[in-house]
Amino acid sequence: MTGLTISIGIIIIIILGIIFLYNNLITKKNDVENAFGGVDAQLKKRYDLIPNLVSTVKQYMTHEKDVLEQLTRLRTQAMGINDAEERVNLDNQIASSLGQLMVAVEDYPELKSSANFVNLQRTFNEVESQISASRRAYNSAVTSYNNAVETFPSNLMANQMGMKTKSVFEITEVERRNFDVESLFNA
Amino acid sequence: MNGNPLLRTFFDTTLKERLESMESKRSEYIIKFRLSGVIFFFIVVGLMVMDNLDRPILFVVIIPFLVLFGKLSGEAKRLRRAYRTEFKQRIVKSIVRFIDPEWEYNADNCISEEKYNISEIFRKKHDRYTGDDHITGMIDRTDFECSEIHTERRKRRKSKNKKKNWKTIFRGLFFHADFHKHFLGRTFVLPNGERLSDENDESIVKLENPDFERAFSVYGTDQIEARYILTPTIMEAMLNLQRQYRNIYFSFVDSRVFCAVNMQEELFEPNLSKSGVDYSDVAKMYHLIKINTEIIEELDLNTRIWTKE
Repeated sequence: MTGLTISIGIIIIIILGIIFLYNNLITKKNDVENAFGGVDAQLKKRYDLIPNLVSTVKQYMTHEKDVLEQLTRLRTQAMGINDAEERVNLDNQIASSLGQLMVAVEDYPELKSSANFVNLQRTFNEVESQISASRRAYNSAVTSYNNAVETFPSNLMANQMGMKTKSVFEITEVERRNFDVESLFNA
Repeated sequence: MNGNPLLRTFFDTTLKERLESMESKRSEYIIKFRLSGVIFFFIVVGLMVMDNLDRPILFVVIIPFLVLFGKLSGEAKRLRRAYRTEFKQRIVKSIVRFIDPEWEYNADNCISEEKYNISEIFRKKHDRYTGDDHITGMIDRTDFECSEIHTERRKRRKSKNKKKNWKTIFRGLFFHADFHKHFLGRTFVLPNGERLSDENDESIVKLENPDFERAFSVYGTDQIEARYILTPTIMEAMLNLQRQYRNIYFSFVDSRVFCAVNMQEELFEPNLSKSGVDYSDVAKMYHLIKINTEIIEELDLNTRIWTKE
């Protein structure tokens, strides 16, 4: 009798274990998707600012027409893409164009000190910081997921479910730079 | 605790004289205090003798000593209180004004209970809330408030020893300031291992800095917002503060930063049992008050490049 009870007990424990591992992996996978959605939402905020930036800057900047056009074009492209992964890739190009633009602004002191532009600058800084934060949150979710996929005994389950490790975001150099409003006032 | 030559000069030119002028009050207190102690001893002996010899009539002899004891200990208490008040007004306040003449100091005020509760750092319900040494001011664009706070809760078990009926929740320096970014939710940074009591919608936030993770436990209502606030630079800053002040708590609520530094002893209180003319006491208080500046500078709260000005 006891032999039977013990076997049943062990089977129950194994089943519970499998359920736990499965649920854990699904949860972690969903956390990653959720975090990716967070990054996407922040990127959209940045796109929303671009038209305003372009129109504010256009009046002053006479030499940077192509950068402005490129920015507008990239933005339209990004809004049209449905695949979030592609959109993120495009975003690197947008970030680099923005960087170029901000450097060019240095040559236009009137623009630099205009209230409109200063406000825009602040909003951009905030969005950039938020994008950074969302990428870090994504990386954290991915690390947690990768841990589950690679450590024992979870990796056995993951293999069965066909789950593979994901890669983390590289934080680009453009984002590391904080557009310094201080220098605007000291010009 | 040394290093600031300006403080030393300030001490030598101003504070030293004041402390010296207060010494007579302090000595008078010591004498009366000790004398009352001696008389108390004799009263006790007298009572014991009276009890042994079984001569209750001796009580008549003891009465004048009781009166004397009452008078002396009353005077000693008064002197102590007067010294303390003068110390706070003429010494502590001067140190505050020396650091920044625009700052306000009020010895008997403290940060409001409301603010303490809003910070939600210590969620255990407190039954007693006391504090003193209230300082308010601005550093560049950042306004701040700071005071000593002591919160306690009543223990369920009542013992005869009155002190044992109360358990301290927090005792130390409590500080809050305008944070340089807008945010909507709440984020908490506690010393490692401490858990947030009554978690509502906060979840654990795991950050990338391993030293930081070893030193603190982080909880927040929003994973992205927590990282928006706790940038790699701010994490390093918090680590620097923690290395100096050990038991330190932070919370970010309502676009403000709250900070609690646990300290086991009373701060800004004079020690009457030794000479008051002591530069190291002054230096210690100076450094304590400077914590406000340190926090604001470490966290870089005056860099206002986001939408909050």
